Amino acid sequence: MNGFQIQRLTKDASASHPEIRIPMNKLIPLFVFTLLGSLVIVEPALAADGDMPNWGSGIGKGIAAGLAVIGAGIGIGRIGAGACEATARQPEMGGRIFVNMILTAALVEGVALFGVVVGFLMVG
Amino acid sequence: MNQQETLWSEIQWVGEIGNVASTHVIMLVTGGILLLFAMLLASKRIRTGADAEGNARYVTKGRLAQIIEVMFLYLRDEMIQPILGEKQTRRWTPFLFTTFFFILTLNLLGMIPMQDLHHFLHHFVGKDDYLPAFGGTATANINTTAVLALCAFVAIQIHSFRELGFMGWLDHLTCGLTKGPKGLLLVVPIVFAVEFAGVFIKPIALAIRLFANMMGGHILLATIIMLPSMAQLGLEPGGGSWWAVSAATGLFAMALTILELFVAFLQAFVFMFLTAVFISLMSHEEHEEEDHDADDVAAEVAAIH
Repeated sequence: MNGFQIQRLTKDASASHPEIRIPMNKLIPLFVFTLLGSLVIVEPALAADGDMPNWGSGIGKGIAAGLAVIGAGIGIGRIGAGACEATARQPEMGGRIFVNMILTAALVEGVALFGVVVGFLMVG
Repeated sequence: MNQQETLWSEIQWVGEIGNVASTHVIMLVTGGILLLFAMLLASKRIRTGADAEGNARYVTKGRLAQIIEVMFLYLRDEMIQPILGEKQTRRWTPFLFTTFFFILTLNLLGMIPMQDLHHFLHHFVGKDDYLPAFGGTATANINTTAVLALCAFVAIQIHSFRELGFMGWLDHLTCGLTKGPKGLLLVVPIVFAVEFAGVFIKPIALAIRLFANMMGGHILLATIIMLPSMAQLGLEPGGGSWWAVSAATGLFAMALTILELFVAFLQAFVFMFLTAVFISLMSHEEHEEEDHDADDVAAEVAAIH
């Protein structure tokens, strides 16, 4: 093998697209400004019923429930991973571990539902 | 208060009470009566019978009694007894299992679509403007779960005051920091405030958890089942694509209903289990001996052989 082949075996960013390099971490401010700037486009819709006392309540309910469920998803995923690992280490404790997993998952899901209940409470 | 009349107030002898008896109240009473009869029947079969039957008196006969006995024994021996210990289990078993079976009965009664059947039958008669008479999940009402949590709160306080006494209870709420190093006394007010808030917040969390699980499950199911009727706004009504949407959502709703049945059992169990855990937290911890005397250990070893 000559030196050229050894060089191609290593994965190099410049080997696949030698001319275009996109530094992704410099695009983050661009994304943020685009997101905030798009509010200008939707502003007439938001202002249409701006004279109602609780005009943002629908959006609020959705955001409350959505954000609360993110935490539940991450938490219950970790519980499941721990339970699978523990069962793989010691299969004869599988039943006991499964019961503990279901119980802990119910508790974590309860916390996420607190957030959903706060969403229910928004009037309007 | 004549705000809203229900079907029951049209009956003459029910009268004014019918105005405040919502379907949830009716389901509460129904669930209670159902539970009472089922438990009386089951306990008559589970308990040890008369001497005349011989050894057959220890055997439980009948399917309902056997189901209840299996659930009860598994929960008591595997779940509650490791937490509470022998004496406290015997003391708190009646209360804990009453809450468990009551919440389970209410949850399962809510899974029966009685209000939907009512709507369906009224639709055939032609009357779309009617008042619901029966059906609904009683635990999907924050008032029901709040009262259940209040019962749990009272039980926990009775236990803690009986075990620890008032000064002992205050001491328990500081988590033993007053006995530790003197530098930690600064932290005691913060710890006491948080623990005292926890005394009230834990039952409130029990109530909200049960309420949100039950109500959220039904709202989710309703939202998914609403999809075919909303689909006909955009799709050709009666067309093939509408049938496909209906079939798909019907299957998904069926899977969600099975999940809701599981959640009904699980939330009843979680309520009872957490009440047992909170009761056990308010007990004396059994302190192990710090120093085992060498002679004591030798005496124990000799006694075994």
